Amino acid sequence: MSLQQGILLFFLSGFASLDRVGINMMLSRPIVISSIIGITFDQILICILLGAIFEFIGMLEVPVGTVILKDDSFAGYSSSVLISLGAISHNNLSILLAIILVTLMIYPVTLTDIYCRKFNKLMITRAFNENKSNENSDSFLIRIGLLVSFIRGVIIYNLATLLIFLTLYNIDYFTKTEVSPIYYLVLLFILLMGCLFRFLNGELFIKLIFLVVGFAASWIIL
Amino acid sequence: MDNIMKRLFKALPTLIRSIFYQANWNIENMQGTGFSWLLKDLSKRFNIGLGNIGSNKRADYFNTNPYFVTFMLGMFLKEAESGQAVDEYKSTYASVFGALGDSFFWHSLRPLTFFLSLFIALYEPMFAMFFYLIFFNIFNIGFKFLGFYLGYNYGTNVIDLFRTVSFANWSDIADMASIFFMGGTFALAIKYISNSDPINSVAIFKTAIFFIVGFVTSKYINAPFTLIAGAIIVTAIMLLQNI
Repeated sequence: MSLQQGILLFFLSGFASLDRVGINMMLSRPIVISSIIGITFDQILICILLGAIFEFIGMLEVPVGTVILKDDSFAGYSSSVLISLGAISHNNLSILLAIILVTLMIYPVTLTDIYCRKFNKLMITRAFNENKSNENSDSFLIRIGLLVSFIRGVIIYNLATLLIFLTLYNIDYFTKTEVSPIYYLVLLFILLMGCLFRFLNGELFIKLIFLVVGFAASWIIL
Repeated sequence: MDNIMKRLFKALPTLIRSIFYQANWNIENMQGTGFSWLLKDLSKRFNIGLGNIGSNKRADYFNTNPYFVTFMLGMFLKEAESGQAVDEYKSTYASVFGALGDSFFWHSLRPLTFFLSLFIALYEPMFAMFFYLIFFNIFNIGFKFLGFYLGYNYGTNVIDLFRTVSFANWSDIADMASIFFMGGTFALAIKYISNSDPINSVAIFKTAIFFIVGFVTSKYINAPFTLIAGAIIVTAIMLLQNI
C-alpha cells in the first residue's frame, strides 16, 4: 500500500462515518465506498460485488425515529480494504469467511455509533445546563458532532478491519480451493435480492409480474 | 416570483448549512440542535423574530427527514414574515415530512439508485459510483432548494401540493421500477453463472432456490444474519464440491 492510498483510506473511513451521521450525500453507501477503494487498488469488479452485497443490509432498513442503522458503510469499507490488501485471496474460501467476520463486526461498530449519539446528547445537556443558547454554541455542537463522527470512522473502521485482517491471517486458509468465489458471491447476492423483494412495497402478484418482465427484458436485450 | 428568488438567494448559506444540520443527532432532541441552528441563522439573515423558538429551547425535540428540512425553513420564514405563531406547526409538519421523506428517500430511492448503478457497472464499473452519487443527489439537492422555494411559496398549504402530485405514490412507483431492474439483474446473474450455455436449467434452479430462501428467511431473521447463514451454506456447498 502506497502513502497516497493510505491517506485516501484515512479520509475515506472518516468521511464515510461523517456522511452517515451528518451529511447524507450517499458517500457512505457500501457500493460507493467499495468502488472508490476498487478504483484506487485496481480491484474494481470484486470490490463492487462486495459493496453490492453489503448494500442490501442498509437497503433493508429505514432510519425511522430513533432507529440507528447497522453500519453497512463499515462492511463495504472493510471487505474492500481486506481484498485490496491481499488479506483475502481471490481463489479460496477466505472471502466467505471474511464476509461472515465483517458482518459480525458490524454489530460492535454500530455500537460505537450509538455511543457517538450519546456523546452528542451529553454535549447538548451540558450546554443546556450551562444555559448557553446562541448560534455560536449551536454551531460548536454541530462541529463537534461532525468531528466525532469523522474520528469514529478513522479509528473504529480501521481498527475493526485490522482485527479481521489478523484473524484471517492466523486461520491459515485451511479452506484453499481452486473454485472461483465470484460464483458463490453471485449466489449470496441473489439470496439478499430475495430479502429485498419482500421488503419493497406492492402486492406480491404485481411484484412478481414486474420481476418477470424485468427478467425477460434483460434476458432478451442484454 | 422575483421576490421569492431573492429570498432563495439570500437564504443560500442557510440552505448549504442544512447539509450538516444533522451532525448533533442524538436520542434526546434528535435533530433539535441542528434545526435551532438553522432557524437562528435564517432569522439573522432576514431580520425576523424567532417567537418562542428564540428562547432557550435547544433541548426541544425535532425530527424530520433530512431531505425535507428546507420545506420547514421556507414555511417558517413565510409564517414569521406574516406574523403567525411560528412554533405551532413544527411538530405536526415535521412528522408529515418525516413520513413522506423516509418512505421515498430511504425506502425506495436507495434500492432504485442501487439497481440502476449496477446496470451502469456492467458497462463501465467506474461510472457506477458517479452515477449513484449524481442520481441520488439530484433528488437530495433538488429537494433542498426546491423545498425552501415551495415552503415559502405555499406556506402551510405545501402539504396540498404533495397531495396534488401524489407524492405518496412515488415510493410505490420507484419500488416497482426497482423490482423491474431486480428481475434484469437476476437474468444477468444467471447468465454469468451459466458460463457459455444460454439456457442452463441447473443455474436457473440454483438461483431460484437462493432467491426463494432469501424471500422466506427475511420474514424471520434480519439481513446480517441472513447473509451469515447464506455464507455458511455457500461455504458448505463449496467444500462438498471439493471432496
